[in-house]
Amino acid sequence: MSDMKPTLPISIVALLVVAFLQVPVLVVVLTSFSETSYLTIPPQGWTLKWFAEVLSDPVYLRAIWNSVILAVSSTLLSLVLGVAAAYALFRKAIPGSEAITALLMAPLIVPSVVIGVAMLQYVTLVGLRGSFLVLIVAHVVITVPYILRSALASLSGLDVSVEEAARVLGADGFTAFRLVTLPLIKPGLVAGALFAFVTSMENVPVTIFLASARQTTLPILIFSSVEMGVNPGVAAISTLLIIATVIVLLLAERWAGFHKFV
Amino acid sequence: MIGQRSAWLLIAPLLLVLLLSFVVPLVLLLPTSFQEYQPGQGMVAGSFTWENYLRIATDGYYREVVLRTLGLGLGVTVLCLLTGYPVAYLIVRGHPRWRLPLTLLVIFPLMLNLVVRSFGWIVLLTNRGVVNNLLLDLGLIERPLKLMFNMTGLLIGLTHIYLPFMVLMLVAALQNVPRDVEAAAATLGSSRTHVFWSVTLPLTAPGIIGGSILVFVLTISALVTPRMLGGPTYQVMATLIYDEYMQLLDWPSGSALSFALAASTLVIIWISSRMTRRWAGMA
Amino acid sequence: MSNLSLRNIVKRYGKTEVVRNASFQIAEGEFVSLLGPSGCGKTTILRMVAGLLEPTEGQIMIGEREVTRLPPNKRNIGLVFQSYALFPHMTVFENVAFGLRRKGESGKPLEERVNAALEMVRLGGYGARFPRQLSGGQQQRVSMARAIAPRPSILLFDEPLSNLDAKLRDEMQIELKRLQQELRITTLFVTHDQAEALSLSDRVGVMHGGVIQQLDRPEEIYHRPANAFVASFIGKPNRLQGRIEAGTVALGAGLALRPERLDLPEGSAAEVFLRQEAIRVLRAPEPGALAGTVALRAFSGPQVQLVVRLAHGAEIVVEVPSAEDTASLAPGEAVYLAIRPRDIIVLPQGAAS
Repeated sequence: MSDMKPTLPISIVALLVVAFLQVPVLVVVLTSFSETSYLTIPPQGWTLKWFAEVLSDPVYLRAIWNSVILAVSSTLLSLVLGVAAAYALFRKAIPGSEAITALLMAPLIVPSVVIGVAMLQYVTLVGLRGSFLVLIVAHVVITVPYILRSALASLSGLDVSVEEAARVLGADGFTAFRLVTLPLIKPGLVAGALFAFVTSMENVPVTIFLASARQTTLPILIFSSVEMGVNPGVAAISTLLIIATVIVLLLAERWAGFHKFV
Repeated sequence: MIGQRSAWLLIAPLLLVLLLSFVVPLVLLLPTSFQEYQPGQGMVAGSFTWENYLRIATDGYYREVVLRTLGLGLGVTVLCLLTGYPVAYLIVRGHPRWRLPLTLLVIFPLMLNLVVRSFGWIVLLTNRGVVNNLLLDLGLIERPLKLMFNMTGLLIGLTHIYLPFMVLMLVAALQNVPRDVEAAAATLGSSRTHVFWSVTLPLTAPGIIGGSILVFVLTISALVTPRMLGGPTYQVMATLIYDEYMQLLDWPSGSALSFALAASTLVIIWISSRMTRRWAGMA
Repeated sequence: MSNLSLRNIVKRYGKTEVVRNASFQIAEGEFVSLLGPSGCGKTTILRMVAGLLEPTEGQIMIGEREVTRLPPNKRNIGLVFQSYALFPHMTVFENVAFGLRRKGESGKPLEERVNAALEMVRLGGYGARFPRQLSGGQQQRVSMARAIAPRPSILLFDEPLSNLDAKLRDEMQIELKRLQQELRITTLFVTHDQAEALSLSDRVGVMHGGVIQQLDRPEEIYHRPANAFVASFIGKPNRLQGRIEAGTVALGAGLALRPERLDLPEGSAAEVFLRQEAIRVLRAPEPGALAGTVALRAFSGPQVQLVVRLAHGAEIVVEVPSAEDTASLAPGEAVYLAIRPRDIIVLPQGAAS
């Protein structure tokens, strides 16, 4: 009897599609090592000069630094605010918790560019334009839904009586959360934090309206520089990002079984 | 196990952040969209007009951009569905040993910086890019094909960007199909193809709808990829908003367009959630 | 160790009263069960004692201390959950040590007490394992060790055996009884399994609709149910309608039962409860025995169940050990049912059920 396994043609199509997903990545990596400023197949000559160029360029270094600081601080802030909120929502101790959840998840639904222009007008109005703190808060708004989603999902997979057991055994509310609940939802939180970090790291539509020239982030820099055409320096910096992504993804998979949380 | 007071204390900080830096900015944007704009002078204080909204429907250029955006959304959704289903099927029903590597290969592009992915497509699709060079070298074409700054480029690029979402939604849907039901159909004399069309596909409908809505909404809101692959001339709604704010400084038009875009995504999501609820009620 | 008393406890959700005015006391070292169908309020009472729920009205005292509004961590209670609720990310040792550590215990004394608790549930040497590496029965024993290790003044059990399969449940029941005898901790045990409640407890409280219907020794509950609910809930009773006539319960068609005690007025309507296991099946008539015919026979291994149709039309289910001669009775044959007067339970008709 047929057990509905994929047939050979379907498998081949599927593998081609998966390969298609990797093509731009491969092309970028090859370009970054190629002598010529445009890529040919096969590439002509190998070099590391684009890496050297980019990594000695203060504009790029500054953008990398800005991006990392922004992503780390907004992820941490989202994590603290989001986990606290998720815990309260999960316990359903508050009336209207569903409406509140919907509100907190709304930044996922409203187009980022709309959030960007709304915040641009707002910070201009209150006179905070150019403040790095504004940028961090803006990134909290767009990253917190990911934390909230994974925290709520992890909490709902938890046996409530485990935390109750800790309480009965003499732990106060915070101790029970710290010793029992938190370790049990940690894999989900790692995944959520990773999503938040990646979202912050790649954001253009909100950042571009709020960041001053000195606050330019890496994605903004790449986004703006390609208007001048293909630049191997961009390929080099992209390759660095690709390598970082691969490492982080593999680590997350090993620590937390990341693919289960996507 | 926490009282209402401590629950409010836990949730208040985030709620405050969201109210002050998300809700209030959006609400304050609304009056802007009803203000008159005088080129060179900016917004006319105290004015009220429907013009900014009317223009979206009546002005030929705006209408073209809106229709292009919706067409793009539809095209990308269909392409993602057609290419994504086989991948999801292979992941769920293929050899278990392939499941993890395939899943990671689907997630990997998703985790990769959006700007980098779009840049990769520029390298591939530009006039002297990889694709054109390859085709020229092989003698298949005589002049470079125009693959960027048009619908082709945007369709390819955005399909690539949003395909992982579709695959993940379909994987979840396929995993929920009870194998017994398929087996039952097979014992009742259905062929493989018939089992697929009459059982598997309808049972994955929620995933197909969910994935399609997600991809459609993401596509019509996208700014980065359309701008990088479409340039400043081939506009969609999001890039037009961007230009109206950053280049033309016509904030009233930009904000009206913003609300039009946000409203369409909200309406689509609302309709789809009602639809899936009705479907769930039937099951 | 101390006694536990509940005074006029009420729990309301909106307008629904889940527990209505429950008052009882458990003496030091006593083992009391709350028995009832799901939704009867027994778990609600247990959770209020544990501090996981707050009563709407009333008082809970542990010894001389009022704990009604105290958080669970300040009550010094041991609780064994239906789902075990072990900490999956901690070893067995750390699970058992959890409560002791909260009391500031550490080092050698901690280790000794954890190991003693594990020995007591016969899991010595399992300390380094994780819960997921243990069977369901072992997990439940870890959960008991964890509850008793900090020497709680009250021990609570929330349907602790219902997640185990039948065979394991019997073993664990014996284990539990042994443990309770050794420790003599004041215990409140919640279950829907009457065999469990009757065999383990000093006293059993049968609950229904948020009300404790009867709280008494297991023998009293079984032989002298206070009302129709308790009579029909305990054992496998047959229920017959009758009328009090001349010191007997007349069932109709000349059939009558003569109970040991009869407190109902002459002529009043009555309900009779006859336990399946208390009915003797005879082939030949005997004074006082009810005449009938076998309508159905079902063999279930150690027992044969017979459905007997009485002369006035009502049907009674009886159990006969397979080894008995009467077990071979076939449908259509005549039988006589003898019931000892003390096993005839008579209650007024239409009382709370």
